[in-house]
Amino acid sequence: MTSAFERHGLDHLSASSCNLFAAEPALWVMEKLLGKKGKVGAAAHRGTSAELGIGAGLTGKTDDEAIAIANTEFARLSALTTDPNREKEGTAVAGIVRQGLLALRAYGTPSSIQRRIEWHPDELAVPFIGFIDFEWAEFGIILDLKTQLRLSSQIARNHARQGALYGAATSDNADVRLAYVTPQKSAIYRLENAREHANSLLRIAQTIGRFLAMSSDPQELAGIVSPDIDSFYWNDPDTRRAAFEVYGI
Amino acid sequence: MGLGLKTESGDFDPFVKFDARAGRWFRKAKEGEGDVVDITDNFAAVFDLSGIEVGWILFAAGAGPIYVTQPVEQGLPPKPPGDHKQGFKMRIVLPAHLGGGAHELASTAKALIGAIDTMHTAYTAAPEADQRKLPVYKMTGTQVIETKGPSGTTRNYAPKMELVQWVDRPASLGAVKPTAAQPAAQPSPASTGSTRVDPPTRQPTPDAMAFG
Repeated sequence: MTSAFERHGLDHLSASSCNLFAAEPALWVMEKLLGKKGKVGAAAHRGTSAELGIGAGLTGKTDDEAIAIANTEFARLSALTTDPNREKEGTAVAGIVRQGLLALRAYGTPSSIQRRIEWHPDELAVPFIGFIDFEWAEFGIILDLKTQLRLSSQIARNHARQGALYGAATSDNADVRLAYVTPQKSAIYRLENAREHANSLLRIAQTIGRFLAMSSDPQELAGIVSPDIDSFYWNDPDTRRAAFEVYGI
Repeated sequence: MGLGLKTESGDFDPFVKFDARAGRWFRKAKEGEGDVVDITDNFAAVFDLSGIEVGWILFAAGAGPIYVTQPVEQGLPPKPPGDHKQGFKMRIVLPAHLGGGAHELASTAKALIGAIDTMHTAYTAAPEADQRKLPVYKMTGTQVIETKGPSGTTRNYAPKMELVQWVDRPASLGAVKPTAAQPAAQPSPASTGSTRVDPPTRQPTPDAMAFG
């Protein structure tokens, strides 16, 4: 017997997918069920690029070499973007790499970067899949990197669920940390109550399962959610246009 | 609900009232005792100041009192339309020689409100209150309060109350009702973390090594 997930072609879930469903289900339906994916914004490219540069710095490159790697990656990823924030985000990359390395060099060389994990809760028909940014296995430390332009004073709830997933997939003893890095400063927070946040993630996933079980027709499911068009989720012009096509709003 | 109106039903405590015009305490009579019983002599009681409510009360002739009250921690609710007067409602426990048992004490009499206010202020500052104990007060006399008004001078009597002792909450009062200051335990979202952490030391701990 196929699960509701499988009927919709979903063989796994991720923390970001669950977080998106919780935050803006209409966009989740559009991307995951209808296959209409919006363009990735310059902010996301900033994060990807900075992470690559920091990884390079933690595995032997100098700060300047790591920044060069990050800048090159940002230029490549954003070459065709029309995001008006491209220049601002690109300028931030170097500072983020420098601040990230300043905070993380003391951790030593990571035992793994972008390690793939799976979590198979009994209550869910599909597994969670994710990738741990940095890990220092000898210390039991798992670290997820979040690049920002303004520093967070605490771990965001959606980030907590993501970190909790990594912990749940790895070990009860995992020391899960979230590193928030801006071009000017950084802060590394230890995740609290990881089990509760993993349970929250599981509940969202179960909600997705119940939602999908309502119909095998993605269009029918799109008919029972509505987008908040003023949300930043719809800022990209192509995504906005797709929302109008699907939802008529 | 937003109106602060109490609509619950259930068993009612018999009442105790203080007649400020006479400076005397009365309780509702039990079967065979007549109407009310004067309990002024040697009056003493356990006052449940942890559960006192304040608000607006209408004592209408020929009808039961109408209360629009809420726990004192929440302050005075909005005044409802009508002839309600500012007052309080609480429960007290009488000693056996005065009839015993839990009673409801409610009043809009300024003479009594002032005394209860003083008692409540002392209660909230007392360490015994933190231990969930309740005070026993006795009346040692009355104080005359004269008020001049358009229709002449009225004379009321405020009770002089003296703290006798602190006691454990009598069983007849039941459990403490949750209030704004003492909310019932509710499940709440778990915190995420805002504590900054340092890099690891170079010597891994045995616990950290238990990984996998």
